Amino acid sequence: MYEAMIYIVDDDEAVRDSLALLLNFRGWRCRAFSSAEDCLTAWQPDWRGCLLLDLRMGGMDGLALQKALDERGSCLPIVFLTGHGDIAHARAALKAGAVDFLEKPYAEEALIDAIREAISHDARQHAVQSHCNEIATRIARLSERERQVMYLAVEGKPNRDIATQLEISPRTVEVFKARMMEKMQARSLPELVRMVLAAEPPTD
Amino acid sequence: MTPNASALPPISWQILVVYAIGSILIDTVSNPQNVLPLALAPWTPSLSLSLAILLLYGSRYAPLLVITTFLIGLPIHDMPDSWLAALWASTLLMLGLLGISTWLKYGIKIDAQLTSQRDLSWFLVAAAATALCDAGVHVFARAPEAAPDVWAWLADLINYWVSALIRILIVAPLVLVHARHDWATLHLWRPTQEMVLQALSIVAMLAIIFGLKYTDEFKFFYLLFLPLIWICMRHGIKGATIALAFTLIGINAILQWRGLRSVAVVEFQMLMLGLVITGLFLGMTVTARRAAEEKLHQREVELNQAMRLAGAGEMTQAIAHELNQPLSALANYARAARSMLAQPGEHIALLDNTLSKIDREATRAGQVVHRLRQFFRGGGLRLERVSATDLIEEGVAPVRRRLERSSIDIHIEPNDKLPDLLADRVQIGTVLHNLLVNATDALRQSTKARPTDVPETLAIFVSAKQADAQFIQFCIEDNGPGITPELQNNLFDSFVTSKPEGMGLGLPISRTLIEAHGGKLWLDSTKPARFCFSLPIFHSSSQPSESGPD
Repeated sequence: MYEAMIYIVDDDEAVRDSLALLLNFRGWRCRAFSSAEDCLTAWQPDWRGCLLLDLRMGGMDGLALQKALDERGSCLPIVFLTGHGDIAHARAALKAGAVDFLEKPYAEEALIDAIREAISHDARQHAVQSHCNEIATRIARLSERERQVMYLAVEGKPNRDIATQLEISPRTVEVFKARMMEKMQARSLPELVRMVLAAEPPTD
Repeated sequence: MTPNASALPPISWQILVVYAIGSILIDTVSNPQNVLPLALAPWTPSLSLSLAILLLYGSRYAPLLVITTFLIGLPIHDMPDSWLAALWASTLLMLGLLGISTWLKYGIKIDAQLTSQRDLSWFLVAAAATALCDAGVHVFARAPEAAPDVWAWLADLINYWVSALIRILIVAPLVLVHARHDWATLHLWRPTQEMVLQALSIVAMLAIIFGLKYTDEFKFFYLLFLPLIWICMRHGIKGATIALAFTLIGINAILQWRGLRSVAVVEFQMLMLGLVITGLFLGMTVTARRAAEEKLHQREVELNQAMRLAGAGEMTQAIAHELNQPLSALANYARAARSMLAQPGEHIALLDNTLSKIDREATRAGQVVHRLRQFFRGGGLRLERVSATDLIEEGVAPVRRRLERSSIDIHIEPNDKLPDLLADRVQIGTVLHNLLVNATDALRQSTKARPTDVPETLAIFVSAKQADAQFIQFCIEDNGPGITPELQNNLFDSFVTSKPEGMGLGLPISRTLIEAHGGKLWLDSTKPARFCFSLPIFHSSSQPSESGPD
């Protein structure tokens, strides 16, 4: 199910290696990249966990990677690590959604806390996401008619109106509706409405 | 109350003693026979000394100065017939002085130590006003039969005025410019040979002017300008004030010795006034010019210092970053190692491995510290014999990774046949590093700014060739957009930069370092951007030195 991975991006080999070693011992799985570019190339939308990002790197720096990932729709929480206590950069990073900003050398507790928070943030996000995915899957399993009936029912229309609109008998509507409710695992109309709204938030 | 008021130093009795002694001296020196009306009239405070003290130490001294005048006057003169009137005249004069000194200090805001032409000019105006007051008081106070008609009275007034003015202009500036001198080191002071010669020249001129029996005393007066000009040029206003005092004392002494009574008083006074004003202003001009030069030099020194500090600041920041990396790694390894100790049997190999990594990181941190120490190692050049190839390699090595990451190719033209150089490896390394980083940044910026104009492969070319019998020429070129004309003109000025976060110090510092080697650093071409510098070739006769040519 949900499995967190810590993605480490730092151009210093020793820092990368030691972080991965330490975090392995704290029970996390890690994957390390020597540059922001490498990380960006390897990135997949299904990455879960968090990013530990060095702010200052040759080539693309930490802030640029944060921006690039954001543009690709990544929701991975980011914890910045930096050798400079640079307030301007810290502000920029946090404004762009970073979870935390640690100055090297950092206390272990601070690092662990930051990672924990980042991962729990991601896990919550993931839970919401998977619920939505589940509903989307259920919706996908509906037949054409069942889906039509569902959307009209969610709009609050009585069976008679749905029947008129779809040019079928009210009795048939009832059959479709019962099957749809069963497939959606919805026990009541309000619950169905909640599900549809969660999976397909109104666009306007 | 203003904060200044509470910070006033206590009244100093030394000042009053100096005032008392000074008054008596001036009184004595200023020809007591009154051949020329230069003498201090009894019971009146010494105008010049009082003015100087009020300007330097504040109006608080005014009543004390009046009292002191009376105290020193008592044993010298008899009690005046109407001492109340004398006290009244004294107080009146002191009030006038107080007004003038307050106006100078707080109205005109002159520096009491007369540090500029402006100060001196205003002081001259104030002195003229003070002398006029003094002359007025004395001429009015005189018995009416002394001046039978208005012309005689006016002549007296002018006569007295000019002589008082001369005295103020000689004594007050003498006190003002020397008062804040560091008197504690006075016992270490020895006159230089030149000073002795200068004093002798004044004596010689006085001898010519007054010694020749058959000459009119004032015919050769202008000769006194010669030693004065000499002294002013050499010692500025301080020398001028001393020379003027010395000259006046000399003249008075001669006049007294020869018992001259029939001299053309007004003529002499005018000549003397001319001498005094010329001396003061010439001396001030010299002093002001020297101060300006000194200030300029000071600013240059400060700028150099600032540049070095700024360079050091950048360096420190870079080193702090570099030091943070091994330190973080060390901490991480140590924390992991402690966790391994929970099950030592299981992790013994890993633990061993981690400990060697800790060792390696500690060494790396040590190297950073070593570099830091090398950078801040004070003193001049450490010239040694090095090969051009080694120098280039040392300069390129630290930026190689940065170049790789930015996909910049570096081409070093191999040239092993070059003669060796005489150079400071660390400093030339800094210069090469600066130029390479500049080239790298230019290339990286060009890819950001106009990705279409960028050549397919970004590249930096480093070459070295023998320029002539004396120098080897190094060039660093990049195939970026080149250097804009605006930037080209002030490329080597401090704080000029094209980088958003640059300090604009790299090139000026680099140029300074190369010039310290006796070489040159210049922009050889703007498109492509090519910087070149030359370094002297090592000759068997040129000795490697520890301190370098400075």
